[in-house]
Amino acid sequence: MSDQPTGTPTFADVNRDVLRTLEPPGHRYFAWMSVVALILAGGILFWTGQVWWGIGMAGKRVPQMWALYITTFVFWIGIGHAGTLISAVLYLFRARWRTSIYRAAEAMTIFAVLTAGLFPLIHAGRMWFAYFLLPYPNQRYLWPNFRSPLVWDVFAISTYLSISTVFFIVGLVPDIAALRDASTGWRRRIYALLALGWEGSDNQWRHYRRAYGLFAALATPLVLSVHSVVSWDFAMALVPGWHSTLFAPFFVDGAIFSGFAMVAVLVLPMRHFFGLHAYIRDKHLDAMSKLILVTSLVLTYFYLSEIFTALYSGDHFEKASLFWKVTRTYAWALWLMYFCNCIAPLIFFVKKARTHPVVIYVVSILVLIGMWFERFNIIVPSLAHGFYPYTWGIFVPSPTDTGIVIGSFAWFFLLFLGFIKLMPSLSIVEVKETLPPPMRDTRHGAHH
Amino acid sequence: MTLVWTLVAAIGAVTFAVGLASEDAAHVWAIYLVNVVFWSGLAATGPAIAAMMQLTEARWSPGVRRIALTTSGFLPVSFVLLAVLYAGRAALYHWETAPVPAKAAWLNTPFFWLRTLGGAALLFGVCLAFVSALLRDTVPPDDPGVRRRRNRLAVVLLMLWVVVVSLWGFDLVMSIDPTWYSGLFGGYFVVSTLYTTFCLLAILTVRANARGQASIPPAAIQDVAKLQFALAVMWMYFFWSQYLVIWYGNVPVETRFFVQRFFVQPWNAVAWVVFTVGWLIPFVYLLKRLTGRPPRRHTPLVVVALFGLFAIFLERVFVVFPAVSGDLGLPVGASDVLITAGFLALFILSRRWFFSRYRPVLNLPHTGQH
Repeated sequence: MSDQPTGTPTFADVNRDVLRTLEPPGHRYFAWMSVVALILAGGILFWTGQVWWGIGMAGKRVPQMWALYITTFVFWIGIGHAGTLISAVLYLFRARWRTSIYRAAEAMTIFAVLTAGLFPLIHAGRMWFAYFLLPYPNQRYLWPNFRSPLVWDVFAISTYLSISTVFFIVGLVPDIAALRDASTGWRRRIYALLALGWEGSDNQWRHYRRAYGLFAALATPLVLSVHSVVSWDFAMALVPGWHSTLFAPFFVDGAIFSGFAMVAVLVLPMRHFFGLHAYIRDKHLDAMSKLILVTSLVLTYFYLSEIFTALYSGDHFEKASLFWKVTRTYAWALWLMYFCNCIAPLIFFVKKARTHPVVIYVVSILVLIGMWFERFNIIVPSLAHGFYPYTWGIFVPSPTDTGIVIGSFAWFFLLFLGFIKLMPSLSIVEVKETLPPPMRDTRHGAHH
Repeated sequence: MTLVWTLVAAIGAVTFAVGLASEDAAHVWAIYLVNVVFWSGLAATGPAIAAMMQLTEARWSPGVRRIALTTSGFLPVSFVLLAVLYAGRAALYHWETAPVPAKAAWLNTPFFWLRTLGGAALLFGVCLAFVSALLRDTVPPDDPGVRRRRNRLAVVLLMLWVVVVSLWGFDLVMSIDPTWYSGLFGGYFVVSTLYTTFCLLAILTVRANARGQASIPPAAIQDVAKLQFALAVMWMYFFWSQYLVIWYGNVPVETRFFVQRFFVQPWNAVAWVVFTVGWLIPFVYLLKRLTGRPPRRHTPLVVVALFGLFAIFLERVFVVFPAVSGDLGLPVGASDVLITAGFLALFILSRRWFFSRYRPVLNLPHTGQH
């Protein structure tokens, strides 16, 4: 499969190719949309049933009160991480290869966090009381327990969503202005509103660059903070298998790992269907694959440290929990996780595999499966085999929670499919910055 | 100057030998261990940084990469010093004399020293092979085969470096108190060692420029400062990830580590000095420096880099000393200073040996990839 373009695109090519992605969609697009919408409708139906008949529909039994909902919540929060890493951290590191993929990654971040945000509500059962988590002055002087990591989560995730959204919108402004100038009618009015009066003057560019750098610097600590806080939901508890100092960096690395896999899963079809091979080149795939490989190796290091700590600690319960996970009811999930997260990405040591779209796609899907199961293995088997035998309990998924989890994927893809037809999924401005500027004498331009 | 440093090293060695014969042998072994892990960490991490630059195809400064390689001159010395540590095992590791049955599979004499010395031999061997490969060929290599070979060596080096330095943290330091454990301690040791090496790299880069050995542009020095800043943040993040979980969990077997250090003098004061000198001051200065145009004067950068090195050295003291014995005080006696000066002298001398043996060219052309 050869995906390499023959020449370097010009500025006019960039305008044409990126704006082409916004043209009215064809049958294939609507077919995909319909499938995704149907799955989502199924998920909503299950949710409605859960609200109507109660949380027992989700198979919740003591001690398995977190089960699939919190597993999927952590999974989606993790997916969001790569977007911030690509858009902010790689921007600060002047990694120019990010220009072709960062817009899609940023959109992915926001949609992933929006999807994750649904799960605490679904999990709470009576989601109309979700505002209890927020500290607001009330008649009974009741405040949430600020010492609970669950409340830290509320602040960490809402901050993350706010900064990511602002950063995303700021990055879009010049491109939306280009869309405004190229469109007519109601579209033009909407784009004009979103372009915030952008004219592309020197003064505006100067302020824009400064603001963009500032937001990148603000967003960077969030890459560490958000998933660290999520990890502390577990690590602060004394449950065997949860109470570990490793958890914060271990979660952050896993989040970046799964986030990059999701970027690959989104970007590769985009490149194929929109013919964006001139912009998402082999070097981009190579860089993404390398990052997946590095984060996989770091994750393997953390898995080994986790096993080492359980054995070294001499703690009977830690050792028993580890032994139970490795050999009993959910052992298949643990070994599947090790295969997907530690073994499968090793193929990226081979240079050809790093630029082969099918290989990258398959490995990325495996990584996503592995990372979902990582969260499952942290939550379900740890709770299944706690300190006392009378608290032990196996979790069996029900159609309701499984349906809602599958529905969440449909919700995420629905948002993303909508996005690629409403907004430029490549940054017109930044892609042009990586190209030689147009010259009257084309031979001159070729030297740049 | 070589003669002076040789003399300092000799005085350090004599002080160490005399100290072992005294009643305070545990104290002498403790300061020896602190020095071994500190200087060996610097020596092995220099090539590791060069390997990272090799794999990421960092073109921003081939000169800085060469400077990073020069710490490897200490590696043969480091191996000997690690082997000498074997003689002090009874004074440092309580489990040597009073085995802990639950941990005997990991904490037993043959396996422990096999890991320590075998791991070091393997890592140092690969480091030296990588250094020779980088110094032997042209920059950048004309032959893609050469680049592939270098990349392969770099991958092996980095994997070994993470494993071996983590094991130094778990084995040489954490196991002094065999009942206490933290899963992240190995990773923390790797990150803090990387931070010190970036501090050292900043100092060596500025010094190479000042002596006319290299002409590293201000933008490349700024990049070293950025990495120093990033590692300072990572160091504190790795500390905080352990501290918060242990404090919140409030399990006695874990909290005793912090109770011994944060609630007992002089260690409480040392903790604040490490935090202020090693993190707060560098963080504030580097944050200010990185938000502006790259400055031409680098004295403040060298000062905060020295702060970073000093603070991590003190942090190693802070971790090792109370674990060896609750009675050990701060190592501020003449013998402590002389032994530490001896290590410094050995490090400087071995770097000089490296320059005379390999004659590395530091003044490499910059491609301007900024």
